[in-house]
Amino acid sequence: MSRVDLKVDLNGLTLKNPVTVASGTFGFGREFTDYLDLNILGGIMVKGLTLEERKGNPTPRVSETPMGMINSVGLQNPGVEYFVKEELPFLKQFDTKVIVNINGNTIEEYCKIAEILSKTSVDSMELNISCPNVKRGGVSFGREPEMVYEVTNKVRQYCDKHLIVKLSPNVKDIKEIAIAAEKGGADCISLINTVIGMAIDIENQTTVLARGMGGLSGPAIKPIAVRMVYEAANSVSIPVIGMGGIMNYRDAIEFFLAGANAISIGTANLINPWVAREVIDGIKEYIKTKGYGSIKEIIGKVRIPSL
Amino acid sequence: MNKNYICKIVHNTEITAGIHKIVIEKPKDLGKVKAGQFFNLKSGEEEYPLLRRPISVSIIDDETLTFLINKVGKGTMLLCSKNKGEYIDILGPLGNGFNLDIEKNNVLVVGGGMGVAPLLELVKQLSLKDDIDIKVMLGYSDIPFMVEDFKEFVDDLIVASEKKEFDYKGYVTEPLKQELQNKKYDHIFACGPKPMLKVVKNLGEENDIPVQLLMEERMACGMGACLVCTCKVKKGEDDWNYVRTCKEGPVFYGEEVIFDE
Repeated sequence: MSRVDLKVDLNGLTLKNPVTVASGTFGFGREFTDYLDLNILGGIMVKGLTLEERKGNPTPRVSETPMGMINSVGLQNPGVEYFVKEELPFLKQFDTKVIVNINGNTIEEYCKIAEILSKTSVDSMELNISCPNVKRGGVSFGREPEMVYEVTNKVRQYCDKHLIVKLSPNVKDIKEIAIAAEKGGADCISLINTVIGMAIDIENQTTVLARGMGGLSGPAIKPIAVRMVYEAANSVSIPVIGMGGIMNYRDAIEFFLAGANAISIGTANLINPWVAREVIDGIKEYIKTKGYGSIKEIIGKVRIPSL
Repeated sequence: MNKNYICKIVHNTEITAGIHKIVIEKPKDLGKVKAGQFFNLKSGEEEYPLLRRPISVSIIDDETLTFLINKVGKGTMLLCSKNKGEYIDILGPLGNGFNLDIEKNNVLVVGGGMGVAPLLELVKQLSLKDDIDIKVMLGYSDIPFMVEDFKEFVDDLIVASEKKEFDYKGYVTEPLKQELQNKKYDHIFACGPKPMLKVVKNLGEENDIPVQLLMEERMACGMGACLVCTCKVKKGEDDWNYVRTCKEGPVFYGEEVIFDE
């Protein structure tokens, strides 16, 4: 059987294969061990952390919509210190990269978390400037290129690890945002986070979610995600992790062709917790069937017929 | 341990308007399933509806599992439209079941609406205990269902309906209050709409009786990863926390749960 090289280098972080699982859809990995060997994953983006514990938003926190779901969890998490003490040792047992999604209300909070995590065995940090579900911070840092540059640049000074900046799709021009993250010192960018959405219960005439709006994920946002990955990948020279509605290997291949160097599976984990295994196998098979030897050969390969 | 199975449907009937009883073959290697646990059922073939549907198990037999499914939307509609001989993709068993390790044996079981479904296996299990005295109180908004199923395991059963005259016309919590005045109970188990559970919790506290509540919440993964199905619970003396209904629940002690207005 011919070998397929799935290894990717994300500018200082080498993944044995380009399949990761997206933050907020995989907890801290524990829940998935009944369904999936975590050793097969390229990387795990853990649930978003803040400096202090956060209780999150009231329920209902979820609404299913056609081909998607809107969530408003509000970054419920036990805080960075708890993670380092109680969850990180568990994750480090596995032969996969541990990528920690970090969040803050202020730039100082982001920096503090980055400083704490720099002293641990985490492999990478994913700077989340795109969470739509918290009052302060989150997406507000990700909306304007100047802000993206500033927060990335500051966190870079405290982050001794590989640094990914996770971009919001709820912006005017994703290209400018991607460039700002690169200039600010990101090693890599990931996109897209969820698209802000709303669902209304027409019987009660209230929003379905307690907080009104939330983040839309799932297949409904995939075409938006593919377009934005394409635009971002063509604007920067750092690697891109593509995500948004990936349900199977075919979806993943779209992202690679659009220019993603790696991909992240999100909502699909909530439906089929073993889906990452199927995606990895499917990618391998596609590469082989198409006559390539490595994943790198298809990255950014898409052609636009009229151009 | 794998928890995903593709199971053959051996029976599907509409037992009352909009509610189906679906019986599936129990996988040979399925671990022990407890009363109060649930499975996350895939309803669509492709990506719509996207999420699985969390359904409590109603009866656990040697060869089969029985679910009661209320057709409330596209997903449950699709599940109920499946025929005998077709298959359902299930994930489970999930969550914690009822704690049946109870010392004293005067037990009250209170169900409301679809909430009666998971109580059937509970009552079956309780009825196997020695020296147990079980009273079942079932409340419905309209026409009762599953009453005969409960009568297989208990004699002492009353039915309340908001619309029709059965043993009591109105909410089941009214005869429940009466019953608690008449007799000393050691344990209450309940499942039903939130307003009903809140009353049961309060009655339990007023009468100093431990209450186990099987809570319902909108879920996505059902396995503790996504944090959307949280339940507000007490933490220490004066603090609270959101915990996962799917993982730390869905059964909670009444004294833990905080019902917001």
